[in-house]
Amino acid sequence: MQNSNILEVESLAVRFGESRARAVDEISFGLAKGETLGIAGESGSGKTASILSILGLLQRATVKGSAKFEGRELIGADNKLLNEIRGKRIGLVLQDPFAALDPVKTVGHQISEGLRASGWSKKRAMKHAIHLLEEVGVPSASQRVNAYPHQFSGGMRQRVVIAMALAQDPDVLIADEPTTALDVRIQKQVLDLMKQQCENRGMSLVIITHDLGVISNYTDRIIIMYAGKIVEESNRLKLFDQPLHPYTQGLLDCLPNLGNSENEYLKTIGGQPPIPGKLPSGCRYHPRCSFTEPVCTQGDNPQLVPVKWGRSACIQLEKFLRESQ
Amino acid sequence: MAALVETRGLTKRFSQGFFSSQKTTALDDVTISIESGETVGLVGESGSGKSTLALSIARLLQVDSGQIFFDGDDITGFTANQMRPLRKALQFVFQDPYSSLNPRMSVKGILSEGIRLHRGLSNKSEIENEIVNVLTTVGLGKDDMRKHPKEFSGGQRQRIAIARALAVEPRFLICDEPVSALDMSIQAQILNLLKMLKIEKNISMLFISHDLAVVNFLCDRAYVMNAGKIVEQGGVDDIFNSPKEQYTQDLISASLLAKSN
Amino acid sequence: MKFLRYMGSPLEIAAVGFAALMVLLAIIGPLIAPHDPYEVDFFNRFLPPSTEYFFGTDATGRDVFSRVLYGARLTLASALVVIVIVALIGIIIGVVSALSGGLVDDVLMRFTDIWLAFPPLVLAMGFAAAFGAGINAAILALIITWWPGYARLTRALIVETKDKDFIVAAKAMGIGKIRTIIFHLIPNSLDVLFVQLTLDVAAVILVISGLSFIGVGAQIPLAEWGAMIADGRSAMSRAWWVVFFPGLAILLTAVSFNLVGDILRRELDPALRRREF
Repeated sequence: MQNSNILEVESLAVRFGESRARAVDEISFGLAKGETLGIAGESGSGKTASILSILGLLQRATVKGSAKFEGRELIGADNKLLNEIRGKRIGLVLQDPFAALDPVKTVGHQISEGLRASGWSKKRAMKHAIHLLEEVGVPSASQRVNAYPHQFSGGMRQRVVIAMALAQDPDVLIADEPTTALDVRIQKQVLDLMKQQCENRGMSLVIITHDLGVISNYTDRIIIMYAGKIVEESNRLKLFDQPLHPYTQGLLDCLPNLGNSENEYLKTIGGQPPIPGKLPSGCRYHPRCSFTEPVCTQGDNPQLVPVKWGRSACIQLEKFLRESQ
Repeated sequence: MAALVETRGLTKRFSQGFFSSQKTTALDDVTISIESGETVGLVGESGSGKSTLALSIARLLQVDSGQIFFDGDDITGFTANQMRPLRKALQFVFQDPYSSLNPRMSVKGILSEGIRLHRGLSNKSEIENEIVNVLTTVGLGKDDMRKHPKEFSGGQRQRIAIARALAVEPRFLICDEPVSALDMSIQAQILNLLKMLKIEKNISMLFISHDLAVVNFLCDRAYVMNAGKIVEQGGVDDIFNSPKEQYTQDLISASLLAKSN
Repeated sequence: MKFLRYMGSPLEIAAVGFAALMVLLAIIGPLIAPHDPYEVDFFNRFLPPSTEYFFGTDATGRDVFSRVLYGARLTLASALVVIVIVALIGIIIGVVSALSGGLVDDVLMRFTDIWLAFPPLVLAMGFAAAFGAGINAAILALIITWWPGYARLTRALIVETKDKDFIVAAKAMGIGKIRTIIFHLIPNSLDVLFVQLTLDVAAVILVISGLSFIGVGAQIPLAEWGAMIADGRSAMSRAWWVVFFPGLAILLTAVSFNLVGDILRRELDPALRRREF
């Protein structure tokens, strides 16, 4: 498994500024060629910081550990290597399409920028930009290529951003909350588009999100993060039927699905996620967990271990599986 | 019996921009009603006009034509002074917990303003008691009184915003996407809080959201808005199980697909 | 003041200390001055610094040290008068302009722009010519030329803040306009202004001293630092102390207030940039 992974992350840790607190605390995971990985978690889980740190995109952050892209180490790599990878081999789609686009340059200019920097002629690069706009479903692409970002609606802008990310035919597409700022119907369109492009091109896709619904429909493998750590790794088919961690179960329970309107109240996880500087001892989730035993409150945060069809950081897994049937 | 809140033929246009003479129609002949004791949902995508409708009903925005009724009175043209006594009964919870609280006021200060104005209390300890009561209702504590908003998380700030509204003992609460900016587990907590207010305090509510599942959980009836118009209305079960309009059906499919288990 | 906790380097601590000292001297200076700053004594002209005359004496035998002490009050009081009046005019016009919008806003801002066209120096000279030179002429000239900046700044800050949710929330609560302005709008928009005021104290001190130096501001025998420098200029080569000590006072006072302004801006800036709302 290890060798065929296009991205291999080991003991990745991220600290911000002067703080001793770790936003990401030694996480390890892999991404295989062509697969879609979902990274889910709430605010403060470290999901965004982990991916951005791999690409060297975090300001004032201390990053430790290893992240190998096709065997080449990215953590601590010099700018030359990072610039080779960013945009060309790993494409990035961020949450706010408006912020990702330069308001004073045409869309075509921005999509073709990377290509022109790689030596393509302006004509050829523009032609490719039009082709990409067509691929991502922007109507009248040959005219729209000369339009400016503000002339597009939110969903169309996100398509433009996706076109930009795909321009240099990367091997991996990373999308950080790509649909949060979009309306529900547009969300579906954008996700369908990304998924389809990945399948067509044999690209791997990483979707970072807090929306479990997105996860359920668009990812193969899923990792759930909490307070800087991975608490569960599972797959789409199993995650919702049988979570491997009480936190995942808690998240699933608190969703007001169209199905469970009979319940008077939603089942919630009490309390708040911990502040990085004030982590509880033992398992970081234990103060909010209904399966806590004394051993959960002591020592270090439990390790993520292979179980069943995935991995779990819950040391009371047996008890949890038994009682959550 | 007259509805608690009613709008008739509400229309509102916004000009497109500085140099443009074009106008967008945010509200197009909107007629809705909310009975006392009801929780009514207002569903729509961005640009549907749902926030504009909410702000118009609360008289925080002027409409171009149409009428707004509260408890039988036509409040469409009410001045700020005329609205003041009604503010006790009609309260608003905003979407963004990070901008709806005065950063320079303590929680105590924020909550006491409404109490002083609308509950007729001036005795310091009486006011403090009321503040502690309402903080407890929303799941916060006495110690939170002297803190400032920046010391709280998004979910906690939203609780403070709800407490601010509750402190004046309102009969009607307009909630404009109150949980959209919050994490899933916190959303659930706030939704439970709102449901508790509905069940235990019998507060009528207009609940705006783009999230059908949330509306389904909290509301009895709902209106679906698109491009400034009401396109469908009815009991939540009816709308979501057997929608009559294609638009509603599209919304349901998109959200089911995005949220199915 | 909370910012005492945030003073970083020794330089900053020194700056705050010196500024505080100046303020103190402005208040008690005249009480502790060893000599009458206006008492001439032709037998003791141009005496170098000594234990009796700490900063020496000037062309007419007056004690430079006492004059510097009196000058502190004069300079800081003048700066305070300018700043306070300028802030008041600017804030009132800025608030009215921002909240009225439309025609009133346009008219007020164009009116403000007109006054921006006047250069302080030329105006001061004009006043000196018309009403006679003196520190009041300098103060008036500064007030007239300085207020437009504050009006524009205030207007911009209020416009930025007035549509924020918590302001709308105040309206939704039925809170009156005046109360909203005083308790919600102003505390959340004018922190930038406050920083600007502190920085401007330094600037005003320099301009007032400068105007006095060139002769259109305070006149000798007034113990104003700029005027003292002008007065002692011709004798600079043989009595350096007459020019040095007032000059040093101007320098240190302006720099220290400037640094205090910087500290304030730094402390408020993360909050501003974070701009929670």
